[in-house]
Amino acid sequence: MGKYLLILFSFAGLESLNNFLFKKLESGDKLFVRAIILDAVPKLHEHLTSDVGFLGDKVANDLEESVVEGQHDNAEEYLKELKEKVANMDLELSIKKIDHHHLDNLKKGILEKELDAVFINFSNNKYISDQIKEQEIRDFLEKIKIKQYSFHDGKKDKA
Amino acid sequence: MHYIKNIIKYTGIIIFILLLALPTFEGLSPEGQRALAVFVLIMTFWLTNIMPLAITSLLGMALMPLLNIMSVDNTFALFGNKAIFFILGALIISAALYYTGLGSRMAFSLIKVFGNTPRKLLAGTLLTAALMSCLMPEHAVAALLFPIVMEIALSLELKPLESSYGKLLFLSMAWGAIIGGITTYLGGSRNLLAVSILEQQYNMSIGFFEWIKYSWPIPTLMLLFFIFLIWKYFKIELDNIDKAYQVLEEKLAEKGSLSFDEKKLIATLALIIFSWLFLAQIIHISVTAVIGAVLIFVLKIVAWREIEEYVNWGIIIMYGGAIVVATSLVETGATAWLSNQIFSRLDLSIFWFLALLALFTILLTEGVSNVAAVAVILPIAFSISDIYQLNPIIITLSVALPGGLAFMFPMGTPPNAIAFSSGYYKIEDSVKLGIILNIAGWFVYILVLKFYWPLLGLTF
Repeated sequence: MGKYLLILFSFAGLESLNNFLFKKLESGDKLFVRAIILDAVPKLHEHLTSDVGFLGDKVANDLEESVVEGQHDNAEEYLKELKEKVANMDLELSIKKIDHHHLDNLKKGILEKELDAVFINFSNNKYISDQIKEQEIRDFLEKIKIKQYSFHDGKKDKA
Repeated sequence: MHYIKNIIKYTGIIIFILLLALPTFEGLSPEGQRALAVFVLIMTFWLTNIMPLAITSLLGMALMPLLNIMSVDNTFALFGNKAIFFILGALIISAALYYTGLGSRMAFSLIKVFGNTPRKLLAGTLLTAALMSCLMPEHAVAALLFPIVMEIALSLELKPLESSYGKLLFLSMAWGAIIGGITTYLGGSRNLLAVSILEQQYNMSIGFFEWIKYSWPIPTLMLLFFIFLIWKYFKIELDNIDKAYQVLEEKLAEKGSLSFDEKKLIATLALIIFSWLFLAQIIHISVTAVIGAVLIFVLKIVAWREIEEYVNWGIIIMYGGAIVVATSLVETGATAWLSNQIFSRLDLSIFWFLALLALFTILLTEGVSNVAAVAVILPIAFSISDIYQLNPIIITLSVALPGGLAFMFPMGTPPNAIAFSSGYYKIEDSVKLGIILNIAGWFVYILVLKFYWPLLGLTF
């Protein structure tokens, strides 16, 4: 019985990640899923819309809210699909959504859970992902030398 | 990219210092040489975006009196240009459209009218964005349409980076706004900035209606081309868009009938547009824009605090600075010197000069803000056009119109950045399709230059 963790910074390209993930999982395995949720768009997005794009504050805020809501809805949609898929399989599933500012608990959990491997989907889109937090987790995983399969928007990174 | 930006930035600073330190070039006045130095510095700062565009403009304005290029009075008087006041009025009008909800009502209605099949919905999004960009700044149109398009994508359960339809929806939104934005002064204020530089240099102008008369074939042909791609070229994975259509109907029903403020705004807009189109000889378009803005307050459609939330005044500073820097080159004789000393040896036919100028502008605007691209290229283009004794209106159109056509990168223009933040497509997607539109745009420009503008008396 293996224990695996799926970390989602990106909710894009998940079909190919799913294909890979479910080939690795076996009956009786436990899968932890941690979806990293933004509460605001990154600074770079603000820079483009306000400094370069000259959008007014309210217009830029409306836009940012819509971007964040879109990400939340896509996350919800994926997690719902995942639950439905796992319901027909002999797998134990634990899903949590984590604010991108609070990754310490995620790190603590990785250390405590004695995981067999981590699957992680990073984002290539620096306008809608917190690249600093992604790097923080990337460095952390390197440091603890855990087996990992990393993806960028569903495309597997070269080893 | 960061590396290239640094090279450009430091090269600009070094050339600025060298131009200030070196003895005056033959035939160039000391003020002209200093104006060139400031132009190079500001150009590199705009291109590399190392400071907010508006702050770079302020730096340019401050350097004029500081380096004895133009007097303090002259420098700041240029900021009171009529183009600036047109933009100011247009921004307030656009804010009212956004604030009252009339803008989103128009968007919902238009998209709904155009499309009840997947391809029609794509074409509808494209045309809605384009039509609205004739009335509002293109970036505001993209911001206004974004939540609607996101609702459509979510209602159709389109997966980011997996659904080609999702990708096309957001690209249609951004590119419709971009293509439509070149049609009038309202869609892209850079059009008016270009005309303002034309006025400063040649004491000639292009009216609101005249601009549309010159510009309309380019957006029209490009939209037709894009619709052709939607119908014949793109693969669509959906059979129907019933869920999205239902969302549109629900959202529109939620809005209810037109509010009193919306009705007042429609009446005000009708008056403003009528004046811009038919009374421009009697009432200057900038005066109409300012009167329109005043009317919006008098009729209590919006309050000042709301306008402050919806308008980014940085754009006014950016444009003011661009006019000051471009005018300094003219007033000090730097553009005349450039045309005599540097560009007079150009061995190109007029046609190829114009075609390459448009191509260069299209390429530059892909990487930098299109306002910056126009502000940087136009003064130089004018200096070259003097050699060919070209009608300066052709040069203005040949820079301002292609200068709006940035399709590939998020940093080229805000509608691209807004669409890209949906997460529904990769930069590679917009580059692949954007190149096709860039090439189409260039061909359309050439067709218009060769066959349409001569009919209006713009010969070369």
